[in-house]
Amino acid sequence: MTAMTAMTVIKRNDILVAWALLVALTAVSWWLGADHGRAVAAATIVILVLAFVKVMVIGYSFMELRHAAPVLRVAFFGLAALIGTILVGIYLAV
Amino acid sequence: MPDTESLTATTTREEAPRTASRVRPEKPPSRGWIPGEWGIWVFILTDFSVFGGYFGTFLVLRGRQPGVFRAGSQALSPTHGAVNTVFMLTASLCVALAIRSVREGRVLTAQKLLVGAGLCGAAFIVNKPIEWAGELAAGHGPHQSDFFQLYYLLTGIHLLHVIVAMLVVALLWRKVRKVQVAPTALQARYLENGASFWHLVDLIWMVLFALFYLVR
Repeated sequence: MTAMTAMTVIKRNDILVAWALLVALTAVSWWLGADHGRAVAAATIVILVLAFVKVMVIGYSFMELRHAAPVLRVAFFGLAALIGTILVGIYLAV
Repeated sequence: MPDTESLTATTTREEAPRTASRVRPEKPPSRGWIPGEWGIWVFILTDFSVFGGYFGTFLVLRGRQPGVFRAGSQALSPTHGAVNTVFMLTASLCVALAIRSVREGRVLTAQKLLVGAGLCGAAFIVNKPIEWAGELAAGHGPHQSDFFQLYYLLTGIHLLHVIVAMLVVALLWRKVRKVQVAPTALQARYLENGASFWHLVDLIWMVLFALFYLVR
């Protein structure tokens, strides 16, 4: 059996790596969502940003957009970034 | 019963590059490749935009009634929401791995992974009404506040998406069974459309979880 480099292992298991990252980001968000008393607004903004980072990881890895036509990538990631930015803007403005 | 996977394994290695080169994103044939077809992506982007409107509505109302929304959010269990998030993510993982497996001709593995996705989806579907029942028992009905009205409405619409996604996974399971060596272009398109819908349901939940359970 050929020895595989770390990069090869990651490349072969990229979907599992994405899943582990998504679960880790969920854990970080869950921790931030617990009341720690201070910096509530900052924690909320990080939680919203992380939610959209997760959306993008799902798109990039699970939905295979990393291989997709540039126009679809722009549409998907552009829309996710737009909605995420608007939500953070609303949170800060109202 | 013969092990069809081992029977196809030898031919897969030889034939997959020829038969599946059109549909394997690991080696996309051109810059124009998309998973599934444009129709599903128009639907995905439209559905996500509609939910974007709901997310914005939630935050606008939250800004007008911060106390009500804070109390509502504190009445929910973030741990319960996080567990449901892991169910959704694991179901998506199974679907993504199933698509990869079927492209490599590992039909039985793909079918097992789709069953795994179905079990995770079922866990989510069972968990949600239990969670709702607990909140209703605690007096947090949909008429209690704008927070709970939006909570039941949006998590309910999302649950309908999950139920449809479960039907899609069942259809994918049947479709995968008919794949020989590697999916035809038509089969690949069908499988990728269904998988993309499942991932849409997953990503919508990522934002719902953040908004209802975590935003303070």
